[in-house]
Amino acid sequence: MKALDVLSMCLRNLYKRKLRTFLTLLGVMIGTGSIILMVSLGYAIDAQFVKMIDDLSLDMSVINVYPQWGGMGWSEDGGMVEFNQQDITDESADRISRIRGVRTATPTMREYLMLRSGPYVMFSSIVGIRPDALEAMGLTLAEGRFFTEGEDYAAVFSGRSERGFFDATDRRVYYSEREWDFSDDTQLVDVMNDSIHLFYNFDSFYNSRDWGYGYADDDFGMDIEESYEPVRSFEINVVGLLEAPDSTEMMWRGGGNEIYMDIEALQSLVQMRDEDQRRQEEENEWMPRFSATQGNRQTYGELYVRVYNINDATEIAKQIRDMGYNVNYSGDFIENQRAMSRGMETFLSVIAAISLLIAAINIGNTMITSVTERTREIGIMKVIGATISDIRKLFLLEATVIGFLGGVLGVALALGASYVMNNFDIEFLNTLNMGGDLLQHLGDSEAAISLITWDLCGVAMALACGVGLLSGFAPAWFATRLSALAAIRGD
Amino acid sequence: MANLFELTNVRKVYKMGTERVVALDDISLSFEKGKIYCLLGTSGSGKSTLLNLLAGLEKPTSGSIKFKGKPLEALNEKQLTLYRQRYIGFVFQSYNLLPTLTALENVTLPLIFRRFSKRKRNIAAREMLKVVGLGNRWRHKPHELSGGQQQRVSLARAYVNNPQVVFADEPTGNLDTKTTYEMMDIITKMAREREQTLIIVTHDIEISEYADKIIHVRDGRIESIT
Repeated sequence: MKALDVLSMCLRNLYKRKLRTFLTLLGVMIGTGSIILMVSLGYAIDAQFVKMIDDLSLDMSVINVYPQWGGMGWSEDGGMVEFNQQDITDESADRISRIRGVRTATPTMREYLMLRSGPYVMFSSIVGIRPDALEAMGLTLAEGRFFTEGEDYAAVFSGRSERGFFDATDRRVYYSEREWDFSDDTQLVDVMNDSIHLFYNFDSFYNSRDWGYGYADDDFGMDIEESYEPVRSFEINVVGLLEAPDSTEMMWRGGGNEIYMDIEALQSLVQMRDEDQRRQEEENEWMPRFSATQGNRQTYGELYVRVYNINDATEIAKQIRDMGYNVNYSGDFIENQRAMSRGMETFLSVIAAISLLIAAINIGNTMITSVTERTREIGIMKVIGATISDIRKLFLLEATVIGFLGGVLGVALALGASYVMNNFDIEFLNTLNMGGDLLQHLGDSEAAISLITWDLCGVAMALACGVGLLSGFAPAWFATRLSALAAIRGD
Repeated sequence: MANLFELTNVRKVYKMGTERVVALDDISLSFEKGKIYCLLGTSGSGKSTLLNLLAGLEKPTSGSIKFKGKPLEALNEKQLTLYRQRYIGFVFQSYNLLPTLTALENVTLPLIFRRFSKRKRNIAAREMLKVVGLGNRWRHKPHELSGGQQQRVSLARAYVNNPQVVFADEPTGNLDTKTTYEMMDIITKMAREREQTLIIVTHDIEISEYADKIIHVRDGRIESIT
């Protein structure tokens, strides 16, 4: 038989049993459709992760390492575990920088200090860093330059750090409202040009405040210039301004307002502060002895690690964690979220696969029925000259066509369901929480819930046809084994 | 004239459970080309078994059946299929048309299996339907035709690939007397025109009168040939 004749005869047979064919198709349609849909949910989440990493400009090549303070804690598998203290020192920075794949491992420290420019004041997180590591940190300048070795009081401002300034002459105010108010774009200080002083002692500021206890301004609150007079300050020179992060990025990283300085300068500043503190404690018997608890300043608060290849980052983060440090790698978090949604996807896909399996059994069943029903026809065809392979082809093709048509309908079903999911707010889908907490926090309502690619449709179609073909083998074999004689004899 | 079929010492034994039923017992027979034969016998006489053996649908338990000098029992399944495709036409008592196909398509079926192009086989089938007197009913499905018309379609199907032998197994068993005669006239006329060998299996003595030779079969043996 010619291929076209086989096809035409098989379509005719399927058409003759329209209802049964349709019901069998339905099974394949639901199976294929649900598989496409389940995979499409996973695709959409992956796409959202990619978009999210992109949106937040999360730098996936950065690993933040913190000291391990020691004591009892929870281990990763949920048990209690005792941690050994592990400080970050120059030596540990050196050790980590020697790990294969690490580009830089530079210690950083953070100190909360006060800046003042004229009547404006701000409290800021000052990040101390080695000058040669600025570029390696992936910081990008909008203006000016990075500071270099030996420029002790040179600083680089983050794009939004100026927003921390507020008017200190207003004694009821002690923080900047502009910091989180994105609609307010007034600029109080021209950081690149205005003179800015750094303070480690905040007493002057607190002394000038009206803390709302009802004291009159004149009694306790001192004049701004007068109150700052006795406090030691250091003039800093802002040499560069970083690009400003956008709002989501800021919310995510909770930053964008750091000020960068040479780590050695910051260390000596902190030492001065500690000495001041000690002196005051010695002079005043009644003061609690804080300075005694201050640790060795040769340890750092953080180690900033950058790797060459993002794909190695997770492994490197694990190595550093195994060395006993606290490690924060954004990739870990994303990986966790991903693993969570993968688990959900796998579960749903298994259910979908089961429905396809049932569809396959259904095809087989239909085909066997059809063979039994057509015993006589098969016999006649054999007597008239149909070869075994003709008969086999007829039944295999019939099963495959059922798979194919079911696949086509399944793709249509999935496309339709996907459209509905993406365009209507369905409460049930939100409760499934496929994207995990991460995506919910981001609240990207525009993002697709389900993403169907042509590749996916193609693979699903092939799968449907394959399932049809496979489930046709047994019935086809059964048909070829029928005795032509018995078939025509039994009327 | 050359013998088309040569049967020598053909035996066919069926196993029915533990019992052995001898359907054909030591038959030696020959069929000449272009003649009309009638296998006449009562039901259970073995005449249908003989026809099945000749058509290659069954193999003899022992003995040899030669078609044009070649032993059929030596052919494999595929070769037997080709043998039926090329040389054999079949007419059944119950017509055995495919219900999903039209009269025309039913007639083309043997040609479909022989991989004829659609155009070629439709021309041949239309011609054949005209010969059996159904030129204008080719579009009809079997259930839209009368018994006699269905048998004509099956007749056209048997003759369409111009076989050398046509087997007719009780071809008129389901037909009334008038149609029976019409049918027999057509069958025999066509066989003679095409110089084909026609082998009719029947229990009806009246039918046997159309044949050149009548082979009386009884209890698996040839009783007489007239």
